[in-house]
Amino acid sequence: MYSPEQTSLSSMLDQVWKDYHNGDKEALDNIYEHLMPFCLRVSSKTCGRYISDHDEEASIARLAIIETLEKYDPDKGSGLVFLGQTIRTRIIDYKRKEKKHSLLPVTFLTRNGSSLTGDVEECFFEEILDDLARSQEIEKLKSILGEFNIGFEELVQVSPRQTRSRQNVNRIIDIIVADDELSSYLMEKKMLPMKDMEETWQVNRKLADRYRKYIITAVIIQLNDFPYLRSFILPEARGEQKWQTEKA
Amino acid sequence: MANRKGIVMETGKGWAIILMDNGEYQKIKTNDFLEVGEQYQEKFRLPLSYIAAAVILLALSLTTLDYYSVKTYAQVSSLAELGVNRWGRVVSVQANNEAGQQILNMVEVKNDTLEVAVEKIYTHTLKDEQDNRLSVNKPEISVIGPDRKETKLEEKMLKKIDQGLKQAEKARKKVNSKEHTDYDFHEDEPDYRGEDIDIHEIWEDGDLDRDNLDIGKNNKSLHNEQEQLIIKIDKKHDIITKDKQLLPLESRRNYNSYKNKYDKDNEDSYDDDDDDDDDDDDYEEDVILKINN
Repeated sequence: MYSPEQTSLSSMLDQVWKDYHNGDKEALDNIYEHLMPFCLRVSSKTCGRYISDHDEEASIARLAIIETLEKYDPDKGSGLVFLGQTIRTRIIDYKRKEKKHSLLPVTFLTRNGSSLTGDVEECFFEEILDDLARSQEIEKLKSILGEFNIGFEELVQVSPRQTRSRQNVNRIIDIIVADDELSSYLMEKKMLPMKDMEETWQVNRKLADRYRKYIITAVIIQLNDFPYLRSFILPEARGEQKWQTEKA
Repeated sequence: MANRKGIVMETGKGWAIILMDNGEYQKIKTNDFLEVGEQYQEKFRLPLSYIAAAVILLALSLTTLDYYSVKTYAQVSSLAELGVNRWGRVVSVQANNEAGQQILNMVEVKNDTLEVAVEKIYTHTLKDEQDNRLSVNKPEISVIGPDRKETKLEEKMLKKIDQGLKQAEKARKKVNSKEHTDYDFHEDEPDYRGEDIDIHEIWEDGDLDRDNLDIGKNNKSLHNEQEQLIIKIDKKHDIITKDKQLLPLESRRNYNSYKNKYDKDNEDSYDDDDDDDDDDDDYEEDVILKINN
C-alpha cells in the first residue's frame, strides 16, 4: 500500500515516462527535483553512508533515472521500484569495478540487512519512501520549532521520563489541542496560556512550566498535518487511556 | 524486555536523537548509519555492569569449586588423610583412627598449606608422645593422587611434606634444648647466683667495683648479663654524677626536678651579682661628680 507521497511520486514518474516516450525529452526536468531525494536515499542505503548531491554515486543515480525512462515497462510493476533497483544495481557494479583498483571489501556494503548479491524486495523502496515522507515532516517541524526557539537537543533534556509525569503532561497537551482559544494563544504568543489553563483546567503550573517545550512541540505536531509523527505522540495510538479533557 | 521503536529526528557523528513510540525524545550513541526520518529499532543490550557482575560471579564460583576439589591425598602415618587441592592447600581432613581424631580435634589444619599442616600434626604428635614418655618415630607419609597423571603434583606435595617434617624436627630440637638449658631468668629481678653482690649497695656507695661483679665467669650467658648490667649502671652513674653528687635511687627518678631547681638557684645568684655591680658604678659616678664640684 502506497502512502500519498509514494502515490504522487509514482504517478508523476508514470506521467513523465509517457511524456518521454512521446518525444518530450525534457519531461524529466519536471520531476528531477522530486526524484533526487529518493535516488540519494537509495544510494545511501546501498552504500551504508551518507551520499550527497556531489558524490560519484549521485551521478550514477542520475544516469539510472534516464536508464529507467528508457527501459521501464509499466506492465512489470511500479516505476519507483524499477528506478530503485536500477540505482542499486548500477552502484553495486560501480563498487565492484572500484574494488579491482582498491582493497576495499565488497562486504562493507551489506549493511541494513541488504545484500549486494541478491535483489531487495519492493518493501525496501517503500520504506525509503516512508522515510522520505517522515524526514519532510521533521524538516517542517524543525522550521516551526525554530520560531519557538526549540531544538531537538533541548527536547531530550525536557522529555518526561516517568510514566506518571508523561500522563500528566499528555493531559495538558490534550487540553490545549482541544481548546481553540488556548491553541491559538499558543501559536500567536509563542507561549503557554498558563493563566487560563490554571484557572479553567486546574493545570499544575509547576508541571506545565517544567515541560513547557515538550508540551509546545507535542501541540504543534497535533495541530499541524504530521501524520507519521502524530502516531508517536498520541496516547490512543500507543493504546494508552486518553485523559479526560472535560472542564473541572 | 520489548524492543522499542522510534523515528530518527536528528543525526550527528556517532549520535542520533530519536522520538520513541512513548513520546519521549532520547539521544543515543550509535555507529550505525541512520538518516533523518528513518525508523529506529532499539536494540536490547545487557548493561555492561550486569555482564561484569555475571563474569565475576562465574569466576568466583569456578575458583571456589576448583579450590575445594581434591587433587591428591596425603596420608600422615596412620593418623589422618589430608585432601590437598591444586594449590597445595588442605581442603579436606579425615582421621583414620581415634588417635588421629584426637589430634585433629586439637589442631586446625584446614586451608593451611600441606607443609604447615604436616608440621602442625607432627609437632602435636611429638608433644603427645613426649608427654606419654613414648619414643618418637618419624611418621610415614605418602601421597596418593586420584589420577595417575598427577605425578608432578605428587612430587611437589612430597617435597612440601619433607619441608614440613624438617620444620617440625627443628621445633622438636629447640624444645629439647630449651628444657636442658633454661633457667628461671627474669629481667626485673635478675638472679646472678653470685651470692655476695648486692646491686643496691653498689648504687649507694657510688663506686662501682667491677671485680666484685665478676661472678659466674664459667657461665657465658650469665657473663653477658653481667656486662649489660655494667653498661646500664655506667649510664646511670654518668647522669647522677653531673653535679658531683651521688644521688640515691629514689632521688634519681626526680632528677629533672632536682636539676631544674639547681639551675634556678644559680640563675638567681647570678642576677644578684649584677645588681651589686650596678650599685658600685653608681657610687663611683657620685664621687666623680662631688670632686668636680
